[in-house]
Amino acid sequence: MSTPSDRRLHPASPVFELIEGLKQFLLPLVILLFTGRGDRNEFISMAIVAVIALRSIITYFTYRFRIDDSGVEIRSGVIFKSTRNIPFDRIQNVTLKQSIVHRIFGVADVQLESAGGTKAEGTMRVLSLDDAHALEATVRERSRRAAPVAEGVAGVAVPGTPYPLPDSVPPQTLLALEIPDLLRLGLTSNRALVLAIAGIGIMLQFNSEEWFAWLTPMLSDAFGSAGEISGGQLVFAIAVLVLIVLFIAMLASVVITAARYHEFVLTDDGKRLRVERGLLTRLRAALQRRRIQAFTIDEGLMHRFFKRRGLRVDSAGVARDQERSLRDLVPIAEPAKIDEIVAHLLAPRASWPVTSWRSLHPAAWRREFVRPVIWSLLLSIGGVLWFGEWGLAFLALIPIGFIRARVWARYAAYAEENGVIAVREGWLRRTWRFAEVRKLQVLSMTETPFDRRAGMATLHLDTAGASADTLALRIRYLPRADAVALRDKLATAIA
Amino acid sequence: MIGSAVFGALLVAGAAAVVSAIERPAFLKTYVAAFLVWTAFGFFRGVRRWQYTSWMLDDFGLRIRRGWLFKSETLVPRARVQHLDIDRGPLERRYGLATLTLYTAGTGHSTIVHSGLAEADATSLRDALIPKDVDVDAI
Repeated sequence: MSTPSDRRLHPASPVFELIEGLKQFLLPLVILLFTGRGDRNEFISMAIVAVIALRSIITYFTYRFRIDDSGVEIRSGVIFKSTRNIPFDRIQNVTLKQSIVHRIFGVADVQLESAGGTKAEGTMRVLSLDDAHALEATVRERSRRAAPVAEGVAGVAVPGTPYPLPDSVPPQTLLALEIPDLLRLGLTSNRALVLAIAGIGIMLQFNSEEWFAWLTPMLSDAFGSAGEISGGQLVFAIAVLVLIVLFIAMLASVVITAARYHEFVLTDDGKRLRVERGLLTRLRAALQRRRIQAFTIDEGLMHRFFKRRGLRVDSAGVARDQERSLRDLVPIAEPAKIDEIVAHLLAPRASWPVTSWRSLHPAAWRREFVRPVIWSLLLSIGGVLWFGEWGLAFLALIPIGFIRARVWARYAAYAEENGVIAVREGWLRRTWRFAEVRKLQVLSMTETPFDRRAGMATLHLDTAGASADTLALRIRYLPRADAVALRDKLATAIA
Repeated sequence: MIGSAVFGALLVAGAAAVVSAIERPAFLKTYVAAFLVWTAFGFFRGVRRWQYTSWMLDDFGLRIRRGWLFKSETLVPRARVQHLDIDRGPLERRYGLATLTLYTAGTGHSTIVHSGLAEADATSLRDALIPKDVDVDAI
């Protein structure tokens, strides 16, 4: 293309812009119209429609796009002007969308999608069908030229992939869960605890007199006393009750987990990972191996007792439901088995486990200790004000906090090795969080005033697909010089 | 920078106008004082923010440094930029400024706003950051 020229939307686009705008306001408009008394609400709805209509007309007259050598540029806005540049090699998919109304006008919505994001990066509402097809062809052809590795979000393979992965590899079973492991999974998942708390909550709904009326005869029978119950016996009875609730909750958790993960099988056909599980509803989900962004290995107290761990993965560019069902890629397995699976998934470009763990700043434990101290001081002040001198009992949290900080700091470490960056942390519950260096997106280093005083810094390593419930990949309390060195090393590896 | 000052001042002024219209107008002096203090504070903050924000473009990509008490240095690698926005509001256009937003595929930093950039800088940064290397396989 010699001179890129500005192009506009189809003249019918205000209509579709209006429809789209009305869709967003549909509910309030309907409520206004049907709950309304008299003209006032009708007037308000008319005003809203008028504003949306005006906006769609303005959009039509201000929206310009053009295709130049590097990508698509979209400009819009009158008062707040915006220019968006989407390079060709970042466009992973071009979608044309047509409803019946679109077909009547002979037009289509064009959406340019790039990786990672859930919503389209560029939406052209609407182009004539010819323009849309021409644009689609141009963008596809150019992004192919720019990015021979590109693979559509929908998984459409583009010829010329530099890492040819044969499709016809017989599926290899990475993991199949047996009954004993299902039981362990039921016991380690915190569902048991949640159920127990819910159960105790329900019990507390009844008032104490009803409890007494119910407990007294039972206790009299049990202790052989006639009607009189001592405080000690009452505490004992309550403890027994709590234990019973806990036991029932654990049983329920085991049953639910065993049903959900019944005959869990994780297979790999060389390109995709597949998970199948479930007794009542059989769940099947697939994930392209290259979509995996980051890993989390989790080891709680119960896990440690059973000598097991769990593996979760973050993925990007995968449909939401698939992503959720594949998040717990290995619900439970022996540590060696998990390491083997991770190594398999990282091969050939990176390897696991890493061995060169480096510890944090020597004073890291002090930083971890400060917060429990402050909290227990605050709690004990509050406690003294509320309960009198018994409130001082909260001070007992300080030694626990001390032990926690020391154990945490001794265990916490990071490693950068064989194309993997890993962080491990934990006290009672341990986690390993790691990703391939080439999957890192943004590196940032932060220093709080406390960090600066101690000569520390925190490194945040952003990856795609991390959700709110996973820990961020970050390394806290690094010696500042180490943080800078590591950051620069990673930056070099990415660039 | 100007934005935060103007916004704060307008906020106070607006609140004052509403309240004084309803309540007694005797408090007007207080409102005026609050308005001035807030404007001054906004101005101070704006200047501070400007002083402690800097950017640098190098071989890796764009580095942005921020903060006085809580410092941060963010590095957006060139190869990770997905697309870019340049936004200019009416005030920004009046003073020849622009806001540059970089989008990466990452979760936490999918948007990195750099406001108060000279318009020419924003444009040249955009042109420099439009990816040339291809590493689509990272996603």
